[in-house]
Amino acid sequence: MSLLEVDGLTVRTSDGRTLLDGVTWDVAAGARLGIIGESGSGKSMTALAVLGLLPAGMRATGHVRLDGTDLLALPPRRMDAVRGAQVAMVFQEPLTALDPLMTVGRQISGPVRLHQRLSRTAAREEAARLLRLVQIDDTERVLGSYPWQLSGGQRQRVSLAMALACRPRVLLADEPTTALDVTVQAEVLELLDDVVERTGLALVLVTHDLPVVARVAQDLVVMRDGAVVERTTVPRALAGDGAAYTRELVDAARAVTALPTPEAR
Amino acid sequence: MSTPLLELTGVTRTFGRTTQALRGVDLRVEAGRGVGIVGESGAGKSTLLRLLLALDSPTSGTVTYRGEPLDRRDRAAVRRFRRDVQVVFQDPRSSLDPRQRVGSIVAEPLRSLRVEGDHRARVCEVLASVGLDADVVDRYPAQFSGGQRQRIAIARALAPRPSVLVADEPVSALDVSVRRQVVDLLARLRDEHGLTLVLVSHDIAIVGQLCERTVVLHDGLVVEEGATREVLTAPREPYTQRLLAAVPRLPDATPAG
Ligand SMILES: Nc1ncnc2c1ncn2[C@@H]1O[C@H](COP(=O)(O)OP(=O)(O)OP(=O)(O)O)[C@@H](O)[C@H]1O
Ligand SMILES: Nc1ncnc2c1ncn2[C@@H]1O[C@H](COP(=O)(O)OP(=O)(O)OP(=O)(O)O)[C@@H](O)[C@H]1O
Ligand SMILES: [Mg+2]
Ligand SMILES: [Mg+2]
Repeated sequence: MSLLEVDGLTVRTSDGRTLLDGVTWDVAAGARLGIIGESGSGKSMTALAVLGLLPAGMRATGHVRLDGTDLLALPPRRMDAVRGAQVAMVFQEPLTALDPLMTVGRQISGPVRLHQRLSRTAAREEAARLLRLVQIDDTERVLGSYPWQLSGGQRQRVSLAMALACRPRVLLADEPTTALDVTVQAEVLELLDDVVERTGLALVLVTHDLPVVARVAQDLVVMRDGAVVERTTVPRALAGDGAAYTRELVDAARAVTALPTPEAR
Repeated sequence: MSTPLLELTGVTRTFGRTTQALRGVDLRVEAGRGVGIVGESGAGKSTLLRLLLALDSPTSGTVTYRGEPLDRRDRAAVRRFRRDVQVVFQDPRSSLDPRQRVGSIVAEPLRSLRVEGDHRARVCEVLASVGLDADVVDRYPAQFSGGQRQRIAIARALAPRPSVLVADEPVSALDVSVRRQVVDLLARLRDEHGLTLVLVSHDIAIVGQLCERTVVLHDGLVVEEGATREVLTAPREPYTQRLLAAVPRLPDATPAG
């Protein structure tokens, strides 16, 4: 049984442009779904629509069912309760989610206290634990820092820690490792894998980076121009089965990840 | 040796009492010789770029531009500097003014630097060179995808034809085909117009394609530096070796690869 079901999701702007066209996929508890596609193909828009966070003036039609409940039909108040607690998101640009006027410690322990009903000190400890989980070692300093005092990769990991803080059932992670160097990236991907394994979280990993998807996801949704090209699996995509467009993406990724040598050869 | 375009000598930068982001760094950027800066998250790469751009001052050590320290209060000097050196910041969202339309954002350096010629045509030209249609000029930054915003920031930096481009993870949000377009564009500007690149990227393949020299930063110190080819193919430092080993690669479908 799928936990989150996106069914015919269509998004239009107020001036009638169609940004998403009948997007359909689903993800089960404990499963890892990758969404790939080129820049502007509608990956982030899909995640925002699922969470009911579309920019003003845009309209979503179709269905987004969490355990059978259609989120698109929920009144805003009830949607607020779903967001974060049931379905959490790591935004592509971490500053979107981080409050510039609040220390990291307060930003993480706030939701932790709310959702896990912990005392202030226990919540602070939980926040530190979450930071260690995302490979931040100097937790005390980072907890006391404001977002602008952190490096790009540190911010990205803080926003992942925040998303995990409420122990959501579904995690929509939009390019969660783009600001990370490869060594930290590998560790964060392993962490995501581990969280899925241990908690049965459903992971939706949005990325333009095929090697990243290949490392974590089994199921794959390929998007182009706001629509789903195909739903496939990572092994099938890598083997060159299925849509020609997917093959193009795979070939392009292979060509690029072949390591350099600039002037040489 | 000629005067470097930009130079850091014995630079440290400490935040608060304890955060030593840079712990004694020397770096020379010479005309026509691009420098790639790689290193772990938190290593001090963005801090180093801010110092190079004189957007921040070192705790100790010196920063020079064409042999002289840049005085941020000297408006004429700052204008000369900006004419020469443009920048793409790591976070496009916060570097693009949300209240301005894209056309105006990309034209901003042309206006403020009083560049001659048809600004509108130049704006469309640079936008096209990063794969964006001319009709994006009327939209606001928030109405774009992450990768599109990143390209707007690149277009703005390239608009006044700088001689140095300092770019912090400029292609991190771009998929391989757009990324290739941007990398090819930068390579062409380097080869045909002598653009000097100072590039922070965790994508080592890109540093390999664009930069002659590579500097590996670890925990606020330069741990390895040299010709890119050597650093990337025969790294001496264990940290650099780990960095290269961790580059994600697609598993091969066929045994040969
Ligand atoms: N607020 C908005 N108003 C109008 N169009 C928008 C808005 N936000 C995004 N778009 C457009 O919708 C399309 C899909 O954007 P989306 O952010 O989903 O792309 P993406 O696949 O996440 O790309 P990237 O990999 O670059 O982040 C893009 O063409 C973008 O320009
Ligand atoms: N304004 C600031 N105040 C306090 N600490 C800071 C500030 N800016 C940066 N730091 C700290 O200095 C260190 C270096 O940060 P910097 O942004 O230079 O890293 P980076 O190499 O660019 O990392 P990333 O790849 O994650 O962007 C980090 O530990 C960061 O938390
Ligand atoms: Mg996106
Ligand atoms: Mg940085």
